[in-house]
Amino acid sequence: MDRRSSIGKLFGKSSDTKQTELTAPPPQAGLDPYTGPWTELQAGHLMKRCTFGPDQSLIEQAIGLGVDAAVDALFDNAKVFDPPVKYTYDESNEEFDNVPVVNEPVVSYGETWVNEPPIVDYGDQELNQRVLNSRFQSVYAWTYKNIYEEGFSIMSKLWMFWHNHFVVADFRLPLEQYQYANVLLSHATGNFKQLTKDITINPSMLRYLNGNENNRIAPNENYARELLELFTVGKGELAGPGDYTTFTEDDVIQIARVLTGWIIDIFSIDTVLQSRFILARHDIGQKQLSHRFNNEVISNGGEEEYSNLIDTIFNQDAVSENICRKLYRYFLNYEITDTIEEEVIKPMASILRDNDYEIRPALSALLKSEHFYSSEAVGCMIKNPTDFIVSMTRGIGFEMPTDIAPSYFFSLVFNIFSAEMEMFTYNHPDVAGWKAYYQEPQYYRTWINTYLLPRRNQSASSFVSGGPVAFNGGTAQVPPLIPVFDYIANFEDPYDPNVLIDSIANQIFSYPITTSQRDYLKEILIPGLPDYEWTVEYSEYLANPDNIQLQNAVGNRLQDLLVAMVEMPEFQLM
Amino acid sequence: MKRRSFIQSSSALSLPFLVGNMPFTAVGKNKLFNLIGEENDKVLVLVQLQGGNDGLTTLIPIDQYDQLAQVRSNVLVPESSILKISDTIGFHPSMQSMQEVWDAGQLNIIQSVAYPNQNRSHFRSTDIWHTASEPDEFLTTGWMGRYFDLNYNSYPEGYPNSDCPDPFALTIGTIVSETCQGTFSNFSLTLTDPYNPGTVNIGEQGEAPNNCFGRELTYVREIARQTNAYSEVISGAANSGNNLSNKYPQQNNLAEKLKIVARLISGGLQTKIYVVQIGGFDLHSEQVVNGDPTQGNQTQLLNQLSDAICAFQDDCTKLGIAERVVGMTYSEFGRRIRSNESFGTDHGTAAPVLVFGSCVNPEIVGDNPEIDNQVGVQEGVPMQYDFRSVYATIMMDWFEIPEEQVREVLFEDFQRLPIIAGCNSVSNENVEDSPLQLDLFPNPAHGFVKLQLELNSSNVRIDLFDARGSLIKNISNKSIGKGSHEITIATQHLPAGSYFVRVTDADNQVTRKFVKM
Repeated sequence: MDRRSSIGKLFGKSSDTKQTELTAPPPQAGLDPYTGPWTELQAGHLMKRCTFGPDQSLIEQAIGLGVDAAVDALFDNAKVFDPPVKYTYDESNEEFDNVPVVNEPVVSYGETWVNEPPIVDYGDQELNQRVLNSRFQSVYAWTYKNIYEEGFSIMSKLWMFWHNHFVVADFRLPLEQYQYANVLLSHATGNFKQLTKDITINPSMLRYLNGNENNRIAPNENYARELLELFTVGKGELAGPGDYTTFTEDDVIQIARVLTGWIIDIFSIDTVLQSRFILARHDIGQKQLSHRFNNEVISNGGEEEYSNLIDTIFNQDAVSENICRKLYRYFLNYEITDTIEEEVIKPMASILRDNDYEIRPALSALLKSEHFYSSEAVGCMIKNPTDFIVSMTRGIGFEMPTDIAPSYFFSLVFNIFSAEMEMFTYNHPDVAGWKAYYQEPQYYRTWINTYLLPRRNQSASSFVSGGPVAFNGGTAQVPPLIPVFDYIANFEDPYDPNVLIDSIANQIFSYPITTSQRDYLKEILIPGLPDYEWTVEYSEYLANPDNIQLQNAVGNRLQDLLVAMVEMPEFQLM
Repeated sequence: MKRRSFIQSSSALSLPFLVGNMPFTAVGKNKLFNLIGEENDKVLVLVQLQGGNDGLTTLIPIDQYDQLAQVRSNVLVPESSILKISDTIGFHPSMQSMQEVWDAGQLNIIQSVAYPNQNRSHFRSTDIWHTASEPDEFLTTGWMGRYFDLNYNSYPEGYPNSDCPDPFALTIGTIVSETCQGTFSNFSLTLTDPYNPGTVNIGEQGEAPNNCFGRELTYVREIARQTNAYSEVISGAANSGNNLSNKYPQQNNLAEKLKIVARLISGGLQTKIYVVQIGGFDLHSEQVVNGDPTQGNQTQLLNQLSDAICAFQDDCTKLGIAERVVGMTYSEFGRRIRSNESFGTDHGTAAPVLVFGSCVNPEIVGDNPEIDNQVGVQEGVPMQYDFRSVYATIMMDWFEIPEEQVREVLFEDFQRLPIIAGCNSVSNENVEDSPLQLDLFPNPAHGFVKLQLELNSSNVRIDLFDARGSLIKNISNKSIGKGSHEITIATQHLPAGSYFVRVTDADNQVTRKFVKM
C-alpha cells in the first residue's frame, strides 16, 4: 500500500469507490458464457459459492484469473484430502492444553488411525472409549480443517453437496464415518454414476437405510425407495395410483429385490470394515420394472446386479435433471422457474449425460454462464451455517494454526458451532438432507429464524472481539479470534476510513453498502471525529506497533467496526 | 339430516381468571384473534411424531389380537400386558401415564386418520399433513398459515401492534414448522429459551434493491425486527408464568418443551398455536428388542410421549388453564400391518390421532381396524377419517372459526367429528344417534359389489380405495336423498386383491373391506 497517496486524499476530493460498476446485469436464461465485467463483485460471487468464506486473497486470485481460468482452477486444484490423524496428545502438553491426552499404544500423535481395525480393543474399556471418542472428533474436525486448508478449490463445497445428497446420518464407528466421507471425496468432482454405485454398497449406507437386512425372504424397501425418490430419478407428480411419473410403487418392490444379498460383517477386532455379497440372500428371479423404466427386466447378475440396476436407472433423463436441479439450488438459487427449467436445467442435464455423468463439464458450464452472474443469482443465498462460520473466521482474517492439535481443536469447535446452528455434518435431520435445499417455500430461509439469528450474531461478535458463546449445551468464553490489524493490512488503503469500510464491505458483502450505511459504520470506528483522525491514529499505531495502549485503542475500534459489520443482515447473505 | 345442536358459549371469558402475577387487564383483553370466534382465548398444541408412528403398537385392537399375532408376532406385545381402556382396545404397556389421562376423561382418540391416496414418502406425507393439500396437489402454505393469511394478511408488516402484541404461533425448537407458513411469511416464531429469546442489532438499513438479493435481505431484516419486537413479550410471559406439576419426567425432551408451553400460556402469552416435535418413529428395524416386544425403541418413544402429555395435562389443570388448551398428536403416516424380519415395520397408511385436554370428548371415535391374517405385505391400516376433518373440527369447535373460512382454508367438504365437548365450546350431543348403515356383498366379489346404504343425510361421498390406500375411484359425491339406497360398483376390471369402500356424509363415515377374486 502507498501511504502517501492515501494521506494525500485527506484533504483532497471524496474517496467514493467505483460503486456504479458493482452491479449485476439482469437475469439471462440459458448457459451462454459470461462475458461481462470481472470485478470483485463477480469474482467474489464465484468464490463465495464455490468455497466457504473466501478471504481477500482468494478473491483477488480469482480476479486475476478471469472467469474461465478461475472456474478451471477450482476444479484442477481439487484433491482428495489426506486422512484424519490422531490429534490428541500422547503425553501432556502445556503449550496448548485444550486438547486431551489419550495414551494409545498403537497410533501416535499425528499418525492416521484409518488403517487400524474398526473397533478398538486395548483391553481397557475406558481407554477404548476415549480412543473411539477422539477418533470421532478427529473426523468431525478433519471435515472442517479441510475447508480451512484447501485454498482455491471446489472440493469441500462439492463434498458438502454430496454429503447432503447421499445422506448417512447414523454412524457407530469413526472408521465407518471416514470411509463414507472418503467415498464422497473420491468422486466429488468426478462421476455421479460411479458414486451412486459405490455409495449403494457402502457399509454405512447399507446399515443406515437397512440394505444389510434386505434379503430374498424378507425384502426391506427402505434403500430402494430413497435410491429412486431422492438419489436418482426423484419423485415426480402423482400420475396414477402408486405412479409418481418417474417411478412406481412396484418399481420400489422390484428394485428392493435387485438389491438383496448385501451385508456388512459384525464389527470385531478382526474384521475389515466392508460390505459383502451373499448369493444365498440374493433374490435370483427376474425383476420386472415398470413403463417408467421402459419395462426393462433386471435378470440375475449376482454381485454385479446392483451395478446393472444403476446403469438402467441412469438411462432415464430424470436422473440428470433431478441432480442438476439440486446442483442449481446448492450453487445458485432456490427458485427454478419454468424458463430456468427449460433453458438452464435441461441443457445442463444434457451436458451431464453427454459426458457420461462426469460432474465437471455440466457444473463448469453453469459456473461460467451469464445466468450465474445475473442479478437473480448474486447475493441472494442465505449462508448455511458452515458458510457463515468460515466467513466470520477465515473470511475476515482468522488464520488456522498449522500445528495438528490446535488446528484440529479449532476445526472441531467450528463444526460444533455449525451444529448449534442446525447444520450438523454426519447428523442430518433425515435422509432428505437439510431442509434449506428442498423445503418449499422456505428453502435457504430455514437457516434464519428468531431463534437462529440472535445466535448467529452473538457468536459472530464473540469470535471477533471475544465473549460468551452458546456451546454444547452451555456457555463458553472465546478469546478474540480475528487479528484485526493483519486483516485490514490486506486492503489497498486502510488509512482512509471510507475506503477501508468500503473495501471490507465489498469483500464480505455481495453488493456495496449505501452512503448512510458507511456513515453509520464510520461513526462506530471514529465516533464524532473527522476522517483524518483515523488516519492519524492508525498511522501512529503502525509507527509504534508494540505500544500496548495504541494497540488496544486502535484495535478495539477495529473490533467494534467488524462486529457491527458481521452483525448486519447483509452479512447473512452471499 | 338431524343437525347437531350447537350450544354457543355466552362469552368465552365469563369467568376471568388471574394468571401468574400478570395484572388482570393484560390477560384476555387484547383483541388478538378477535376473528377467531368472539374473544376466543383457546390454544392448540400440535405434537408432531416424526417418522411415521406405528398406530397398531400405540393403540392395540384387542379384538384383532389373534390375527395380529399371525402377521406381526415379532413386534406384538403379549395380550396380558396391554393396558385396556375398553373391551376391544388398549394402550401399549409403556403408556401407563397416557392411560391416566384417559381415565381422567382428558383424552379423545380418533381411529385410523390419514389422507387419501397414501404416498408413503416421509417428505411428501409431512408436507400434505402440514399444508392440508389434496394428495395430488402441491401447496406451499400451511393450514393454519392460510387461516392467519385470511385475517392478518399484511403480517409481518405492522406486527406486533397494540391489538396483536404476541406471536401468532411458536415452535418450541430451532426450525420453524410449515403448519403456520403463510403466503409471504411464516406466522410461527422459533424459541428454545423463553427467558432469553435473544435480540439482534439491526444497524443502519439501506434500501433493499428489487432483485433476489433485496428480497432475501428484506427477509433477514424482518426476522431481526421480529426477534426484537417479540423478545420482550415472550420473556415477560416466561417470567410471569409458572409450572405447578411435579410429574414432568427427567431427560424427556418433549416434556421439557411442553413445560415451556404451559409456562408461557400461564404467563399470559396470547399465542394460539404451539408446535412441539419428537422424532425417531421411523423404525424399519429394531422397533422392539429381539425376543421381548415390550422393550426397545418404540417402547421408549411411547413412554416419553405419554409421560410428557400426562405431566402437561396435570400442569395445565393446576395452573387453571386446562380449559383453554387442547393438544393433538399426529404423524405423517402409520406403518404396515405386517412387520418385517428386522423387528420393525415399513411405511404404512393410517394411525390414530390423540387429542388431549380437559375439554375433549373423552371417547374413541371410529372402529378398530379389521386385521385380516392374509393381509398383503404392502397393506397399511386403511383410512377411516380424513385428517382434514380433524383440522376442520378443531377450527370450528375449538377456535370457533366461521364455517366459510374453514372451507376456504381446507378447500373440501369435511366431516365434523365429536372431538371437542363442553368448556364453553359446543356440545356434541346427538352425534351418535344417527349412524350411517352400510352393507356390502357379495364378498369376495367377482364382477361387481353391491352397497346397501341407509342414509340420514342427503349428501354422500363414496370412494373406492385399494389395499395401499390409493384412491381408485370416486363412485359418488352428490345428493342422493335420505333413506335406503342400493349402489353397484363394477369390479371386473380391478386386479385381484383387497379393496376398501368408504362412505361419508356430513357427520359419519363407514369403511368396509372386500376382496376381489
